[in-house]
Parts: sequence; C-alpha cells; structure tokens
Amino acid sequence: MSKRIVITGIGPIASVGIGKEDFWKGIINKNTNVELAKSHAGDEIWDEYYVHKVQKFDIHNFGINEDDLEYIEDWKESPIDMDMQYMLAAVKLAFDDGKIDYKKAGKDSVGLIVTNENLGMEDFCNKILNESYKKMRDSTGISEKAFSDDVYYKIVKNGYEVQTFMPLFHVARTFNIHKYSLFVNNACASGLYAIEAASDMIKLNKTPVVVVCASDHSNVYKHLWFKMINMYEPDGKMKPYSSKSKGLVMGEGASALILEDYDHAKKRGAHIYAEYLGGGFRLEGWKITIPQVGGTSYQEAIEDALTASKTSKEGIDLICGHAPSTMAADAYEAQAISSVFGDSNISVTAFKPYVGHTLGASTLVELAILLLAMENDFVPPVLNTKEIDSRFKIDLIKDKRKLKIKTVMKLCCAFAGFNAASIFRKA
Amino acid sequence: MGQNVAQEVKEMLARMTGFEPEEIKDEMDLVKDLGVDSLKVIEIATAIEKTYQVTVKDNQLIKLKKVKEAIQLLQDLLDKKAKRQ
Repeated sequence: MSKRIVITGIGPIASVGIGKEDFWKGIINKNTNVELAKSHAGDEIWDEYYVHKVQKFDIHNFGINEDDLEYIEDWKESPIDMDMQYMLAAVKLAFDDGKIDYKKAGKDSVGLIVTNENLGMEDFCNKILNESYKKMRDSTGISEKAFSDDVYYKIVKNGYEVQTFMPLFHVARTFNIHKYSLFVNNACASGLYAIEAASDMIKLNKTPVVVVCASDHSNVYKHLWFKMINMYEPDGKMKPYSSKSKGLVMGEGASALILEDYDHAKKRGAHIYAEYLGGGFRLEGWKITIPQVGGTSYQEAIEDALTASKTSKEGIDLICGHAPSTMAADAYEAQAISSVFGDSNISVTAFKPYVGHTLGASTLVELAILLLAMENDFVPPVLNTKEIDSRFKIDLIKDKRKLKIKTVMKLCCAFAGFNAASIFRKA
Repeated sequence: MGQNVAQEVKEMLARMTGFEPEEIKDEMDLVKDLGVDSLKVIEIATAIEKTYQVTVKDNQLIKLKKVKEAIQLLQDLLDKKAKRQ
C-alpha cells in the first residue's frame, strides 16, 4: 500500500508577518506592508517601485547556530544575501513548528529540497555594477588586464554562488541534513514541483521526512524587468482576475514545509495540517513570459492532479489560484478552471494582494496561507478586486467567509509554461 | 510580397475583431482603435505561427502596438524564414 504524505510543519516569512502566528495574524489584519522602495544610483534615485516588504527581519533572531551563519559569510566573503537569510529562517521556523530536532533527526531521517529562481543573482549583479563603476570612475592608469583580473577576481566568487548546489549545501549543512537532497527550479511553480518530488522521495523510502523550502528577495532588477515587459501594477495593489488590473507587485519572503510519512508523523505525535494527495504537472513549452491562452496545457495539469489524487472535481472545496494579475495569465487560469469545473461554481481565492508576488517562493508562501485557512476554517477575502473580468466564470471569494474546507487545490501557471496543480486534504 | 503580407494581416485582424479588412489602416492602434487586448495579441501570435510556420518571440509580441508593426513583424519573420531555406 502506498504511503500517505502529510504536512507537519510550516515556516512562513512574508510582508504580512514572520512565523506561523504573526503571518496568519497579518493576513487577518491585512497588514500587507506595501512600501514605495527607492533604488539609488550614487546620490540619485534610479527608480521607485511598490513592494510588499518583509518587516523587522533579523537572521540572528531565529536560534540558528551563529557558527553556521558565520561559515556562510566567510565562504561568501560578504554578508549572507537576503534570499539565503530568508530561506534559512523559514527552514528553522518549519523545524520548530514541526517539533523536529534536526540536530538529532537531520542525519538519518530528513531529506531536503531547495527551490529558488535566482539565488545569489542579486549579489552578483550588485558586485558587477558597483565594482565596474568604481573602477571606471577612479581609473588612474590601471592597465586593462590588471583591471579585468581585479574585477574578475572580485566577482568570480559570486559567480559560483549562482550555482544551484550552493543553497542546497548551505541549508543542509546548517541543519545537519545528510539524506537525499534535490534542488528544484520550475520558476514560480517550483514549490509545487518540490512537494511532488518530496512526496516521491518519501514513497521511495529515501527518507521519512523532507523539508521543502523556497525564498525570494525583492530587488530593483526584478522589478525593472517586470516593468519593462508591462507586468507592473503602478498603483501598488494587485487585483487578481480584475479587468482593471495592470500587473503585479513584487513581494518577498520565504516558506518551508515539512513533508512527512503519515505513519512516521503519527508515531511521533506530530500535528498534521493536511495530507498531500497528489499533483498534475505539464510543461507548455511555448513562450517564456506569455501563456498560450486558448491552449489546454493548464487544464490538463488540473485534470492530471485530480486523477493522481483520486479526487473528483466535486470533491474540491476551494481553489487557490496563481493569479499574477496580468491579463493573459489570469485569463489563462480562469479559462483552465472553467474548462475543468464547468458551471459547478467552484470557490476561487488568490493571496497575492496580501504578500505580493514572491516569485519562486510564491507557491509555498501561498500554500502556508492556504493550510492556515484550512486550519482556521476561514478563507481570507481577495483584496483589491472590485469587479471580476466579466469573461472569467469563477466564484471569487471577495468577502470574509467562514468556510469548512476539507480539500483544496493550489494552482500555478509559471513563466516558461510550467503548469502545476496540487491537491491537499485537511487531516 | 509586402502588399500581400499587409492584406493577410489585415484579414486576420478583421476575423478577430469584427472590422472589415478595408477599414483597418496601417496607422491604427491595436488597442485603442481595434480593441485588441493582450489576450487577442496572443491569439494573433498563435495564428501567425500556425499559418506561416514561424516563431514569434516574447518581446516582439509584447511590443506590438500598431497595425503596421504587426505587418512589419510578419514580413520580417517571413524574410528570415526565406533566408534560412
């Protein structure tokens, strides 16, 4: 008989709050913490942009071994980048919430999957720009070769940091994890792919526990890219499925979840948030930034998820959409939902107005909200969307709703056409 | 060739928007004049790719604003295809 996979720990970090309690409190109180960030180039402001900003974060407040943090700093020869800080903190919060003593359990019974789209890239870009600028400005007879050697020497270490094994190594080393491990990058859908991989790891008896974590730190480069491709919401308020929506607002944060073999969790008396029933995954392979509206890939991912989880469409109580608030992606998603669920009036929610778009971390951050919504029998209303685009046939939860939700589906249609649907059932 | 491409693009736009082909002028704005939103732009790209066996890149698709740009895009894609053959 196939193993059952359950979630027994949550470690969320986002603009709404840090750690399960504050995070949920922030959702309830709508503490979205959208700020107007200013990016400087020298004394001048380069650009201003709205962002859901994580508040009062200090990596030293999570009880992570300081020697281990110092080890990373020494290796990098610079402060730990924020992506990595968020990721480490989220993993620690999830271990604490799951009551797993990783110092003891990490060696023989905990695996790890890390996901992040651009870890280390921020540092990399900063160094290239800053060092190049300084040298150009102050060029005082230094030869071209000496200049190149010098700059290359300074940036090469960060160049290695963008290799994806690095975060896997640092997180595993910090938390004494020595079992099977993987790095996953499927753009915004990374978290759902990671959960599927974790489930497979447990079912194949590679390890009874897997930590799945993802993080994303906001920065001006990411913002400028979205602005450049007309996907930025200038009023700073994301409006899922709305005809008034102009695009997304970046968020930042991290989330870690403990995936565990059901029997293993029961044996140690762990609190079980939900069971992972299965997922569907399709790769559209059309364009990088644009979904193929009218295509069937997303719909097929949803159908695959229902099949894999042995769940009928009538068995789904709530869908949590990706809803990046771009017209194409929201339409694509609404279309896929309607195609599968027809006129069943399935309830749909979307959490990005609370936490912004946390990109590679988005599915795990939003899944943390979803798990807590199930735990509390309360679905936070979708903010900012006053009128749903009339072409979308979905029942969007715009008001506070006490809702007994047992089975939920999390969706994501990511850049590069990674379409994913995952189904969870309250324990 | 140029005239044919222009005509074919206008006929394609006409099918998607309900305008008559002769009503569609080169200088017209896809959004303001023809009501072509980003979803329709994706449909146009899909139709162009399917009909002419070419690949429209993300940034070309995002930048489309006017009828004449759509015509130019298809012309460029067909020229590129011809060079490769």
